[in-house]
Amino acid sequence: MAWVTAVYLVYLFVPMALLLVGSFGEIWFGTLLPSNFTTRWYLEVINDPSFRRAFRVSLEVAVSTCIICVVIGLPLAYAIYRAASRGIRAAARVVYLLPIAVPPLVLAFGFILVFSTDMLPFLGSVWLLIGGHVILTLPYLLQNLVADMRHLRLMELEVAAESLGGSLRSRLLDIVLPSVRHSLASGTIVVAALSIGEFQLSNLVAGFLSRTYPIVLLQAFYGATGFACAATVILLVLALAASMTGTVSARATYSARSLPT
Amino acid sequence: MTATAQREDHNGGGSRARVQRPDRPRLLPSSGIKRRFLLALAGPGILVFAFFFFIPITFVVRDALTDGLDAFRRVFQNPIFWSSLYGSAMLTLFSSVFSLLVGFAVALHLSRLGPRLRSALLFMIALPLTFSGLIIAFGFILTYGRAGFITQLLAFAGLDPVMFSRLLYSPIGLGFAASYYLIPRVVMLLLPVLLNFEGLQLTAAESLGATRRQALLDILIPQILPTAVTALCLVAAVVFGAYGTALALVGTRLNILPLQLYSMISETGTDFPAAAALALVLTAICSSIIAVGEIFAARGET
Repeated sequence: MAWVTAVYLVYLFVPMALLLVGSFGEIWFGTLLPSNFTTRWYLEVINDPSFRRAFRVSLEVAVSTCIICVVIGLPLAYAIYRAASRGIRAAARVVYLLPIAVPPLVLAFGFILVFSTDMLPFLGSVWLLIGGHVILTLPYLLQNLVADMRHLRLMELEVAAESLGGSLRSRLLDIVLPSVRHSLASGTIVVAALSIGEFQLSNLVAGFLSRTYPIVLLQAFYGATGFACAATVILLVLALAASMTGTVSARATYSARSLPT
Repeated sequence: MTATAQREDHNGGGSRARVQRPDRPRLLPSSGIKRRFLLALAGPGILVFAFFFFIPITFVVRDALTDGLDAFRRVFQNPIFWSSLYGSAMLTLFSSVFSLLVGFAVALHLSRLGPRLRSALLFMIALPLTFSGLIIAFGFILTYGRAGFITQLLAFAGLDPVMFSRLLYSPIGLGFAASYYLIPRVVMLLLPVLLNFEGLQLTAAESLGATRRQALLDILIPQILPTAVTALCLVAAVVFGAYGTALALVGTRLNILPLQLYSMISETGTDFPAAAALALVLTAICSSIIAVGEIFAARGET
């Protein structure tokens, strides 16, 4: 099976390599590779007002999504772990699979129906976008955290602390939080990466001024190849940076394995 | 609800619960967590899900049912629906089976490597999981499009570049691009099972006279089959409901269900109840595929 893996790696890396090469190429028209080295495409993207705005919106949405996911996700994950009944476990499983069972496109349509009413006229606002991103990314963080709590057998540690007189507050702060910090960090980075790359919901829900980077990027595909490559590479580099930080901050194989869906 | 009610009794009742169920001794003493406290912890998350998930989905259901089941009739009478369903079925079938086969081969190879090399390769393979579908779409245009790198290489070998690049914009080609982010999911799911698999079983079978092929088919395959089916269903549901990569590759010209729904939503003056009905049909198909996978996953655990 070594040859399949080798061919697969070529399949994996050729598109990335071509994006990178194309972004530095002056002219690329009907030749195998572009000719002449240039950085003008990056300068054009960086100086493009709509790209600048979209980049800012994307960062704002991603950071807010991460904060909200941690603030509501950590207690929720702990509650799921501690209430380890069959019913709760099944319900949690359903939540983990929601982003796949209900396509983001359908959720976006629901947003359009609800938030374009007179009572809730919020379509196009940034916080609505953040709410959508939270729904799409929180399941991954929850799954990461609950799996880690089970793996660490957090309950046994807590019982030990309690028998030594530890209060609930000190157990949460001194045992739970420090124990899950790795999975919390790697899970949050996954949330940030998914939020920055999210297109399917944002494309329908974002307003003209709250367009995120991927939405503006799609318009660039119809323009000059070099420009489109450079704009795509920026997104690619963000995703790569997230993957690397995630691997460094958590144990490599563990974080990769706890993202099965 | 009964399960959680029992739970409250169990925790809140303290010693009473233990007296009631002498047959089920607790391994660990309860560490004094009240159900109400857990509910308070879960509360904000539940509220966010209610507001940003359940209410929007309820609205879709309500819209679809505004005129009885007439919206569904209009969806099914539209010939575009049937050709989109066919396109989606082709795309899903091709990409999920292709991803499972490649993912299995890659995972099998990884399971035989040393931990260090395996971690390094796993890191690379996991990269597409967080990629935007747009990165993949444009990368594939550069690689397999009309003037793409591979297309031109194949043109040197005498292949017609126009014919070849047309393939990329068909359901099969789209499936080939979708596999880019599906194969990593298959690898991540299959690798733990393959790592736990006892390789000695194969050696034992071969020493008893089985061929390599027989040993794989009769011993390895049955053990990983439940997980393989779960992985197949998972990636099938992902690709069935996705439209990002497709929109970036072909616009709305290709007939697949998510693109049909997308153009119904984004065009003005659309029949919204019919769009809602179509959204429910799409959700029902994705959920059913996932459910089948979950049934197999549960079977694998017992």
